[in-house]
Amino acid sequence: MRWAIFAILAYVLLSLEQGLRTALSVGWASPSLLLTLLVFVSLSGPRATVVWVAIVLGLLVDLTTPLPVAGRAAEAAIIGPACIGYLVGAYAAMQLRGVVFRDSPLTIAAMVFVAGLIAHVVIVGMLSLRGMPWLLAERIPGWSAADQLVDRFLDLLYSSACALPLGFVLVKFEPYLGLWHHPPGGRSRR
Amino acid sequence: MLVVVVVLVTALLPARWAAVVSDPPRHLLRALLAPTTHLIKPLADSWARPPESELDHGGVVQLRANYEQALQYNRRLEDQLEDARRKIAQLSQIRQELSLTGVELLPAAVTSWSGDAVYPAMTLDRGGRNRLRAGLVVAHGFNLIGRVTDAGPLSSRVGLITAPGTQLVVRIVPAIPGASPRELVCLIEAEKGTESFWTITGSTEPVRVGDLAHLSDDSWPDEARGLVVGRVTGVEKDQSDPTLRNRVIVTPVRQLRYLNRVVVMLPGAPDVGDGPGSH
Repeated sequence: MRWAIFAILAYVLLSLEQGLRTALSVGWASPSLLLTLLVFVSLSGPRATVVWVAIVLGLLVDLTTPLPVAGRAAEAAIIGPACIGYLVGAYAAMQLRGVVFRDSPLTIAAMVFVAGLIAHVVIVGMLSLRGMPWLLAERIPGWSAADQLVDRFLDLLYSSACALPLGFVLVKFEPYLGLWHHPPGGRSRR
Repeated sequence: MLVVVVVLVTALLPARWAAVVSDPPRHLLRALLAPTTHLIKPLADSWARPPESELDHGGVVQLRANYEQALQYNRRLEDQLEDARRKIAQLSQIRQELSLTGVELLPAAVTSWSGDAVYPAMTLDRGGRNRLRAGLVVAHGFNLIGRVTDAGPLSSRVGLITAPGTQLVVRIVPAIPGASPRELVCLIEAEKGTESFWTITGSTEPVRVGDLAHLSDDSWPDEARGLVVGRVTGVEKDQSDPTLRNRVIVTPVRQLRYLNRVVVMLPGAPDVGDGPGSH
């Protein structure tokens, strides 16, 4: 994969995600463009590349969504939950990519839903662990796993819908990213 | 594998240590994103806001219709002018109540909005290099917006007052100066998903729709007291005890997500003669 192109693409998508949020949000639901990029790479890229992409994109998500600490008086970005969540989500997408048409935006949208569902369950689970008494990590003020799951599910539905047009663009963009994975002994793509 | 173990460990670090690890890359990322999001957000806001009515010039019949429409528009403008005069009178009253001596007002541009229902926040283009630090009060005109929760060198994040569960002590008074003197001091709480506050009051309490809620909370800095938290937009019977209690809804005067410029209040600065005018 061409990492420089990937970095520019991730930067543009993250800027759009942050800057266009007021225009794109429906109620409190807003789409995640980085999740679509992750799924797109997971469907076509070599395994080692997908692992690093998941960690990098998860890190970006962790850094841009800080959580309140010290009774909401301050905030801190907790590195890890989205990294692990995206890694597990990308793994699920890689397991399923053999049975789907990878070039289709519909596939990308569906996989955004599936991989995102798994990723968000892992993220919420890891952040919920912070309330456990046997850990040093303190509970996040106002944290409710149920509320988070509902909010993230709505975000995910919206992200899947937005993944249709974005997936179409990304598929056209694929030759520049140099993603196409050729396993030894034949075509990898359906 | 090592990376996975490292992120697993950092995910479960105490918040203080997690901040030490994540603050440098987070501030760097925010500084890198600021130039593009600063350009994109105003465009997105102008797209998302409801459009202004426009007049269409067509044939004679259409022109007549447009004339009628223009007359209506003129009447609306007159109403707005009257409303603006009332607001100026309100602002003069609010300014008298604010203690802005020794407070520097630093304008800042909003570069992004978090879009999070549980922890709503906005990012500003000013940071530690502009003397911003956690805990500073952020306002828009005379409206209270929130407090700085994190300040990097070039940017900072503001936790909004509309975060669900936020509790504020406010003083609810009539919006029009000189109206019959009535006042209610009460605790209001932000409600999830509505961007508004609620409280339960006795049914005989003197609260009416249109009243203004001013911050009167000892846990906030002096310079924030008197700022407008919102306007009373609903006084309805409480479902649990409709005869004795009312549910009062207070909504911020401006929708916080669409703000593009705010003012940060820096205490301990030389006296200023002007009010917190936002741009």
